[in-house]
Amino acid sequence: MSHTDESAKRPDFEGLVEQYYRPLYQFAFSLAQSESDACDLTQQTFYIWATKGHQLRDASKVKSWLFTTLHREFLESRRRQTRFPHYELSQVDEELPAISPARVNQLDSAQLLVALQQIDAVYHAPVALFYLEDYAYKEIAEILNIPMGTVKSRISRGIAQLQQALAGSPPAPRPQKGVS
Amino acid sequence: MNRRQAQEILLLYRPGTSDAQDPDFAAALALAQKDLKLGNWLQHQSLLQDALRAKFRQIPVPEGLKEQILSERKVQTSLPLKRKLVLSAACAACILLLAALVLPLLRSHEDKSFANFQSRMVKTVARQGLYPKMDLETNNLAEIRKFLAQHQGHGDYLLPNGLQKTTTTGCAILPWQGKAVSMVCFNSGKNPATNASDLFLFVINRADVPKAPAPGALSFAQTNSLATASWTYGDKTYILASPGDKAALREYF
Repeated sequence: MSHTDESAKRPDFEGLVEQYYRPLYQFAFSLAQSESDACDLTQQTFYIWATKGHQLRDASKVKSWLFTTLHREFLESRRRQTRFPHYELSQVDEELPAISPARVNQLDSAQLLVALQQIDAVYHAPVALFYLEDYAYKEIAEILNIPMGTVKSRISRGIAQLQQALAGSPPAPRPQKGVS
Repeated sequence: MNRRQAQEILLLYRPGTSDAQDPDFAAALALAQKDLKLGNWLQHQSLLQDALRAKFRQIPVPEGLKEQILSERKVQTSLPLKRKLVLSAACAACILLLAALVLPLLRSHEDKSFANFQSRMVKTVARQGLYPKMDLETNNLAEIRKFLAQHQGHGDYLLPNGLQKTTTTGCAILPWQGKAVSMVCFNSGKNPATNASDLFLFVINRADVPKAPAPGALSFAQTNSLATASWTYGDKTYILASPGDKAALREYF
């Protein structure tokens, strides 16, 4: 395939933004847990694409490249604030709480955010990618630059913590009905 | 494989994806077909995961984010490489500082407060540097007022006395949370070697930013290498941002 052909497949900047700014922001929000930081991370990711994206030879990897870059930028921004512990988890060592899908459906975004804040930071990225994108575990491992076994254990542990947090949070207020 | 092991594996199972091709999942799924209790657990867990997945995908995206990304792209492509690198460093430093400042705060998904507005405008200056993208480049203040008034901006803004002695370089209308923000850029004249913009005035309707400074109050802040002054006058709220320290900014008031 000629270079020209590869370039022809590459999406233009505006098309790329249109296609990916929403999931990238949602991923960034899951990591940073603030609108302001999430906006910054999303913008910074596209800024880096604008300056370095041409180095990516395989146009089919654009989406992974964007998520990888955003995650790397997030880690860099937090580098001096915290060191993530790197440990393996062989199993989910706590029972999952009893929480119903209907209960989850009642949640609003603010409650999801509160629950996310209660899970360990090291689980945020794998859990967010697990829920936001239908990536294979191998792809998630590549994006986060960690072994696939670690990805699976972190997702398991993160899901367990998230469900624990949701089980402990109060239900969303429901519209009041007339007294009968 | 026992039930407990199968549960650990199936916790990661996502129906309708390539997961089903994974041998571990296949074995655990086969067990779930034989084990009624495990099957019921899997059904419940799948519904729960679907609900959580939907919640994640419903995280609201701020209005105007796409437009801001696209508008900044135009600036980036017109800057020389050295300046891009300097701006990247400044932007990264700004992100670090602001992240440290805002981490303790729990924000709602639609933060329309003045603090968030100020934060976004400061980042706009940090990111775009001394050569921001302008909708109109001119040193004619009357033209700027006319342009802003004709494009849903704020042509009737009021300048502090000190700012009236500087030279305008242009203006732009920026989106923020679905509202229009007028940015008027000035050259202070402190560096005769350049005609770049080094003073940035942001104007927004006071009603669009809850918790804006009270009328008569003038508030100064320092964010990394950028100083800001903010105030409210009439029905408008203003932010003046400039590289440097707060002391340098005070001379314009």
